[in-house]
Parts: sequence; structure tokens; C-alpha cells
Amino acid sequence: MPDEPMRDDTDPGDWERLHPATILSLIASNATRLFIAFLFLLGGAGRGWRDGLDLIIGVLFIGPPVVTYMTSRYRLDAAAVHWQRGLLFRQRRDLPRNQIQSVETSIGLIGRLFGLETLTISTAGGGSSEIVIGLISHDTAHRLRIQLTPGPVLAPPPVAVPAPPFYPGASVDGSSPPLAPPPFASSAQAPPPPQPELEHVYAQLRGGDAPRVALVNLGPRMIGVAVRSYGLKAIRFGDRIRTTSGLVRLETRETTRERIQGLERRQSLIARRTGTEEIAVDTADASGVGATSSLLLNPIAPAGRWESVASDLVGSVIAEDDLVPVAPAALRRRRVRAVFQSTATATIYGGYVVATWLIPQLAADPDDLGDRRSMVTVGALVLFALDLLTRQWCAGRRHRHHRYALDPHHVAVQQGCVATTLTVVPRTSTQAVTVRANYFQRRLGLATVAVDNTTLALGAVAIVDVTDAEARRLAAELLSGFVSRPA
Amino acid sequence: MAALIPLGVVMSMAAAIDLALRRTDTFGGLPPFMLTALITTIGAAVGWWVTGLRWQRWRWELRPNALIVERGVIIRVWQAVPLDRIQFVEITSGPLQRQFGLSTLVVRTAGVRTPAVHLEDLDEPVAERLRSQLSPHEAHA
Repeated sequence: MPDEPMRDDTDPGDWERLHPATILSLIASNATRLFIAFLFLLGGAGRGWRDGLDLIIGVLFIGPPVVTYMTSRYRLDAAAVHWQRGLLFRQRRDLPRNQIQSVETSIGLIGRLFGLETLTISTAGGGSSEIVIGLISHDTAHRLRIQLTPGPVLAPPPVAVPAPPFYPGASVDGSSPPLAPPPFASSAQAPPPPQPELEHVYAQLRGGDAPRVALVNLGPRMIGVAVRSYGLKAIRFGDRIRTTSGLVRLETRETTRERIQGLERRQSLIARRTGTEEIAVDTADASGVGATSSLLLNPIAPAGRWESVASDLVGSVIAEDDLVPVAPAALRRRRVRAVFQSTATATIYGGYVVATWLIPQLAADPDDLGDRRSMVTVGALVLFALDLLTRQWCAGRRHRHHRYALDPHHVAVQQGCVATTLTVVPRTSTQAVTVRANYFQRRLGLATVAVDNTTLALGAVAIVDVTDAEARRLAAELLSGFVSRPA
Repeated sequence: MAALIPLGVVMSMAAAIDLALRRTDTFGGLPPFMLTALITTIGAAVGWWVTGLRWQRWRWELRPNALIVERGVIIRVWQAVPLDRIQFVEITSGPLQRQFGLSTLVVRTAGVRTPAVHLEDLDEPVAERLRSQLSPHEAHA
């Protein structure tokens, strides 16, 4: 694009710059760089910049953030967001506005100090196709977020007309009266654009809910989910869904209903006992792998709430009772597989112990082990039995939890050992259908049906171990929705 | 071509073990590199057999709304890519394939677990015809 950008560059009125505090934030974001630069500059100053080398190195370390700030600029027009950066290696990115999957703002420590925010605009293409604009003022970020959130562009309506219900009869919180639009700007220099009427509140947590969230997620996810959902507020107004949360880093995520690729309901052991569940939705944004790419709507929703949220957000009519179990023979395969896995684990660990401990021990003193031999044998057997029992226990639970349902427009699959995850995916996002059967499955007349979609967090939705005939039926049913192409 | 790499790895590992064993004089009486020869022969035989099975099991079918691919020896896989979901189609052919007038057709989707479906070693005209049939149509977008 050698001929086109010249016009843009010479027209500074169009392009907008970042806030100078960006330099601070960029330096602070790389503590190592900051430390090294500090050492060199201090060392150089102490020696009176005798050879100048320290100064050069120090500047080299804090130089890039300054250059980034000086050269970063962005522009918004009717069709796309344009962004460019760099001096020697100029980087330019243009995101068509209709490709935007989600818009996210976040506030770090430097941002809070100056009242600034970082705006992340993501498409489905992953890390290399997102634009990170920051730091910019709170009001600008707010305005851009409203403008860029996918979906119909909102003209400022003279009278607030409530959007017609997307899927009829889909009220989540029943008859809760419409709340006031969420409070935004602290400094109200530019008035926020008009908001459509607020329709649903999926969650509004207070700080006091954090211990409950942590308790429900007791385990490795505990801290992460508690922090992510601290003060979580998840709302929908019209077709827009917005979540605001965060303890240290405040994050606002916004997307529209039509971009939602699937819904996830997660229930831990404690959640099942206390009658709650975690509800999240996913867009096709592939930039945040794992937890961050989903929009957490409510970590402690009342159990069973997912049905109405799914019908509201993805239009599914699947209910808990519609989920059917897989073939009974599946339990046999899981049990046999557990034995294989235990044996493999025992062989690997046993071999390691024999090679690194037993052989050297015997080599040092062949008689030393004499009376301890039985103890070692018993210990190994106990460990093997424990491993086998755990796997068998999990096999039973996984079999019991594995359920699926297919409605004309959606697929739902539930799976898990201790915690269960239920995934509801619209069939329109199907990219491929795979039926797989390994040797053992074929002997038992079973097969796995996997429905691939575009969202990393949802992955391939797989129905494991249905009967052969059911697999064929499911595959045919899943393909039936796709139109034929004229020859 | 790529199949030769594992064979090479196995051969060099066998040769290394062979050398080590000779040094410790375990099989004193055996001729040199007996083990290497044995492993290579068995490996080549198994490879030949598996390649035959793989080729036999690799089938495809073009339905009005989807491309179906069936393959796999130990794990049988049946895959269907709806024609509407094909992102683009790619033809590749290596030097050996070109010798035999073959090419591989790669059908790309936007799926995260099934980003591509491969049809290996199709006759060149067949691959060309399939490519034009499978490529996303403007009118159909």
C-alpha cells in the first residue's frame, strides 16, 4: 500500500493520537526493561557519561515506548478502524467494522492515575488481527466502544424506543423493571451517546459476593474467577451485551447478540450442592485463548438459569430434561480405558523409579534392600490401586455426566468428572462434522461425533460413544441444515 | 517423502544401539549391524503394509451440500465439511507427486479443531475439477 497512506499521513486532522502517559504505561508494562534502563542511566550518570555508551544503551531501552507513542495513531471511518505504528517498521492495520467480534476496554494502574483506558478491538482472526489503542481518555474510549461494538449502528433516537424482543418470551429476570443506563464517565466533558433501554441484568455482584464465588470454584480456578467476577455487572440492552468487572484491572467487554457463538454452563461439585451455576458466552474472537475469550455473565447464577439465558442469547429451546445419555456400552469402554491408562502411568513412573533409584541402590549394595523389598512392593501396589480407583471413579462420573441434545438449530453437550460443563452451540456455526471410531469403539459398536466450530474456547463439541446408528443419524441431521449447491 | 524421516530416525537409533552393544560385546558372534538391518527390514515391511491400508481406506465423496472424507486404519474417521463452510481450497504437489501426476487437495475451513481436510494423491485433473467445484462461489456467499 505505498500510494494510499501518503494522503492519510498528510492529513493529521483525521488521525488521532494517544495520550502521552502511554509512554509510562509501556515502560511500566515491561519491568525488566525499566530496571535495565534505570541501571544504565544511573551508572552512566555516576560516571559523568564518560564514554556515552551507557547513555546510548539506556536510551535504547526506553526509546521504543517513546517511538511507539510518537508514531501510534488511529482513525475511524464509516467502513473501518485504521491504526498505524512504527518508525522503521511501519505497521498498519485496518479492521473492517463488520468484522469486529468484540470491543473491550481495560484500566491498569497508570490508567487509573491519569483517568485513561486501553481499548482492544478484536476480530475472529486472533492475536495478529486485533487493534490495541491505548492509552486514551476515558471518554474517547467510551465513545469508541459504543461506536465500534458490532451490530446495527445506533442513531440517536428522539424517543427511547425499546428494541423488539429478539426471541419472544425470553425475559431472564422476569418482570424486573428497566434500570437506568449504567453510570459511566467520571469526568463528564462529552456527554455519553444515547443508550437504548436496558432490558436485562444477568448479574450484579458486590464485593461481598467474592467469597461465595471463590467457594463455588474451590480449586485451581478459584482466584482467577473471583478476580474476574469481582463487582461483575453483566447487562443487555437491545442487542448489546456488556460486562464490567475487575479488582485491580477494570474491564468492560461489549459485544452483540448476533456475534455470540455459544453458551457455557459450568457447575462445580459445590455449585451443584449449593444450587448455583456459572454462565458464560463466547464470541469467535480467538485472541484470548481460554478464560479471557469468553464473556462471563454470572458465576453464581441460580441453578437452571442457563435455559432462559440460552433462549435469550442464542435462541435455543433446549432444556435440562432434553439432554439424553450416551450408549450404555460407553461405560465399559471408559472402564477399560481407565485400566489401560493406569497401567501406562504405572509403567512410566515405575520404570522411572526403578531406573533412578532401585538400580543405583542395588548397584551400591545388593543386600541393602533385603528387608525393605516388601515395603517397596506394597507401596507401589497401593499407589497403583489408588490411581486405578480414582480413574474408575471418574470414568463412572464422566459417563453419568455425559449427555447431549440436538434441536433444529442447536447442539448441546454436557461433560465432566467433578465439575460439569454444558455447551450450547448454534448449528449455524458448524464448520465440520467428524465421526470417529477407534478399534475399541468399533468392537463395542460405538462412535464419537464431533461438531467443529469457530470458537477456540468452545472447541469441538464432541458427543463421545453413541451407538453407530445414532452417530450416523446425528451426522445426517447435523448436515441436513446446510443448503445444497447447484451443480 | 515425509514417511522416510521416521524410518531414518529409527535406523539411526538402531545403529546407535548396535554400536553400543558391540562395544559391550553382548552379541560377540553376530556380524556387524545385524540389529540395524533387522529393524530396518521390519520397519519397511510394516510401513509398506500400513501405507497400503491407508491408501485403501482413504475415500472421498462429493454430496450436494457437503464434502465427505473417510480415512483411517486404527482410528476410522468420517468427516463432512459443508460446502457453505469452505474458506478456500488449496492444491499442493511435491516433486515425487509431480513425477506421478498427482496432487494433494487441501480444503480449509474456519474450524478450530478441523482447520483443514486433506485429500492426498488425487490425479491432477480430478484435483483441478474438485478445486473448482469446492471453491466458495460468489453467488452462494
